[in-house]
Amino acid sequence: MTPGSATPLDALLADRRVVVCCGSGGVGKTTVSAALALRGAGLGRKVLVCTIDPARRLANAMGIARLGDRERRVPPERLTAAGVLPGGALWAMMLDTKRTFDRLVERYAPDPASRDRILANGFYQNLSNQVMGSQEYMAMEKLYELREEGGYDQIVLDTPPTKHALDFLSASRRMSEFLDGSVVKWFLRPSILAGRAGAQAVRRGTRAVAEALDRLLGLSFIKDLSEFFQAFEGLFDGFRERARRVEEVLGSAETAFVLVTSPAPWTLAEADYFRGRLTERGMSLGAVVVNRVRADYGVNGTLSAADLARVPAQLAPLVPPLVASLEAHQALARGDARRLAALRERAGPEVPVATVPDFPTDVHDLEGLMRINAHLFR
Amino acid sequence: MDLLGHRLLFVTGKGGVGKSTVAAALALAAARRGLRTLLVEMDTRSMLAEVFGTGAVGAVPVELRAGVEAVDLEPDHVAEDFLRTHLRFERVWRPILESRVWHTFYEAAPGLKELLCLGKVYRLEEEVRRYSRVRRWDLLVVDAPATGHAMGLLNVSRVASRILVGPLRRFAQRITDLVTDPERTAACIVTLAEEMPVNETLELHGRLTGKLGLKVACVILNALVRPALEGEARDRFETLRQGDVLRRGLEGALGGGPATALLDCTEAQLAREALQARYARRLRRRLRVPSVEVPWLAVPEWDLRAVEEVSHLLERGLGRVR
Ligand SMILES: Nc1ncnc2c1ncn2[C@@H]1O[C@H](COP(=O)(O)OP(=O)(O)OP(=O)(O)O)[C@@H](O)[C@H]1O
Ligand SMILES: Nc1ncnc2c1ncn2[C@@H]1O[C@H](COP(=O)(O)OP(=O)(O)OP(=O)(O)O)[C@@H](O)[C@H]1O
Ligand SMILES: [Mg+2]
Ligand SMILES: [Mg+2]
Repeated sequence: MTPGSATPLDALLADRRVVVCCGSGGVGKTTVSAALALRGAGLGRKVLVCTIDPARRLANAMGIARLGDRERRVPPERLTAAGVLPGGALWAMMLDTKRTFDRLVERYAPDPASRDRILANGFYQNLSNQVMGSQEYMAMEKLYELREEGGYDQIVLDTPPTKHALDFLSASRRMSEFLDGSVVKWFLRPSILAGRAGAQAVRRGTRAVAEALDRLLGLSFIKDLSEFFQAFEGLFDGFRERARRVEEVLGSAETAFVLVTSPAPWTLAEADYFRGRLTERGMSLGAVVVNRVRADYGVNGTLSAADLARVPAQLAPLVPPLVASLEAHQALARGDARRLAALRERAGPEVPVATVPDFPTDVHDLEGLMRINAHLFR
Repeated sequence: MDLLGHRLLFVTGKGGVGKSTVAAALALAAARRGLRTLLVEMDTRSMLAEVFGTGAVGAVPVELRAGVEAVDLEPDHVAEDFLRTHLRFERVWRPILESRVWHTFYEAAPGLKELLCLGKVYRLEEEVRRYSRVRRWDLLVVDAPATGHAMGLLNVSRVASRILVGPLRRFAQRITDLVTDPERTAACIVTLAEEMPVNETLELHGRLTGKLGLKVACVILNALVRPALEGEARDRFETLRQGDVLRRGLEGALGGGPATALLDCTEAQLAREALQARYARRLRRRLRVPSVEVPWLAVPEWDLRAVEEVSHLLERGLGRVR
């Protein structure tokens, strides 16, 4: 084994085929995903990182600046230049929700005619584009495909910024519930297709709902929907089955969730909530990465008047503002340290908590990712 | 530009940039001006209750302080409210609300949640005071979701009025009219002076003002670090930094540890400042929308005092661009 495998994070990632980086918006999920993938490649693995909306310069650095929903190999010479040990290989891609959805339809539609009907349906176009949850859902579909067919040793999955960090976990389930029996059946009832809504619904509750929806939404909209569902009918089972499988994979020992958070109180509160819900679902948290922790410059307390008196006159006017901003910074750094200690306590001994300092500049190239790794893996 | 003179403000931007803070701060500023203000949260499990020390904020307006009330539009309540208003009789809407078909449909039908949420905002805007025709609130400040979801939300009535036909279509049309009326409604984009938030702001601005037809009244550049050194002190620092005069002088007086701490901390801060200045410049160059700066506040715990400070800073900033 490589010397690096001694670190807790390496030990966690060593045998996980799927690594999912999740957390609140803007905390560094994409950056950390890329860094973890780079690490895997440096340890000799064939790794794919599937990112969502990476910073443009980071995408450039990985050679995936052009959208396309396709995996691209990061040129080995770039890896070597950044100091990654040779032996492994890194692929990167950017998730394109619409493209992924279209390709699914193309691939699984029973025949060209139903394929075209789906792709042209207005309802589908909305569904595949900008509906809440469809991005999360497509990330899951993509994961399924890549895991089945990609031939990678490890797939690192970045997750979209969701309102609640959890949304993506339930995306598959929500979608498969939607595609499940009752709703679809309702839209496929013969009366609708014949243009008379409501009339033949069996149960009383269902009829009331049917009539109300018909009245509210208008029959032609409902008809549109029905046509969509009809065209989609042949695909439902596949969708449901894959949703089930993805959930299985996420809950299995081959998957590690890495929760990325900032040291700010609110983000940490979100992170705690997320941790709880993950456990509720029988999925286990692999590690926590606290990103952008403010540096502790190691001075506490103020400088005494005697200290200040010794400062040469030429420098004297500079000292008070510098001291003031150092002290303000240290107060924040102490807050971070305190919350970090409390987090470690809550996480317990099984869940490694790694930290990354807040760098004064963005992290948008492979060298920057390596710098992050120097902190993550130690 | 009189931002608080609108009826409806949508505060949006990338995740985590300070939308909720700015929305609350704008509501406070409006109340100081004597406007009866409603702060609308969109299912944010928000920090308001904690910050303002009120009870939990939910579907019913809660007073945060004199002149400011808040609601949180939780989807289930919005659905109930919607069915109740459109179907009137409880024996009609109750079974629907409780049925599985409705539940799953509501959970997953594209855009439905957003439509009902935006519809609720529309209805709040129209709400009148008891026994009168006077509007209940002078201003609604909506703490809108982050970029992608915000566009889904603000676009939904437009899409709905295209694809629906029933009574909902007219409803959707009226919502669109309100949201795209520059006299009554404005959006306000909050951003940080960093690459991704700035890029996202440029994109968001394009989409909001383009396809969606909203007015973006201003951009709020949040959390700019205050310069550690300004004017003469800054120049002096730059001069003395050359040739190690500064380091040697500080080391001699304070010892190696504190001297290094002072210098490292200052260097990091200057680098951050330079970065922010670069992105702030890029934003201003690319957008012809007034921008207001809010400094980064070095408070260890975020509380009401901090929100109030942001509120005053914003008010002052808005006053300058008027
Ligand atoms: N440790 C760090 N120090 C300084 N900057 C950082 C650090 N980590 C990440 N960043 C910067 O923060 C920004 C946001 O990071 P990133 O895109 O990874 O976040 P995210 O969680 O994926 O965001 P989103 O939720 O929007 O997808 C990037 O510009 C990145 O360069
Ligand atoms: N001007 C500021 N100075 C310092 N900290 C700030 C400032 N503005 C906001 N913050 C901090 O940033 C955190 C996030 O702010 P806020 O919750 O308002 O963002 P948001 O955009 O609403 O996030 P989300 O997308 O998650 O809803 C707050 O907890 C607050 O501590
Ligand atoms: Mg990201
Ligand atoms: Mg918020």
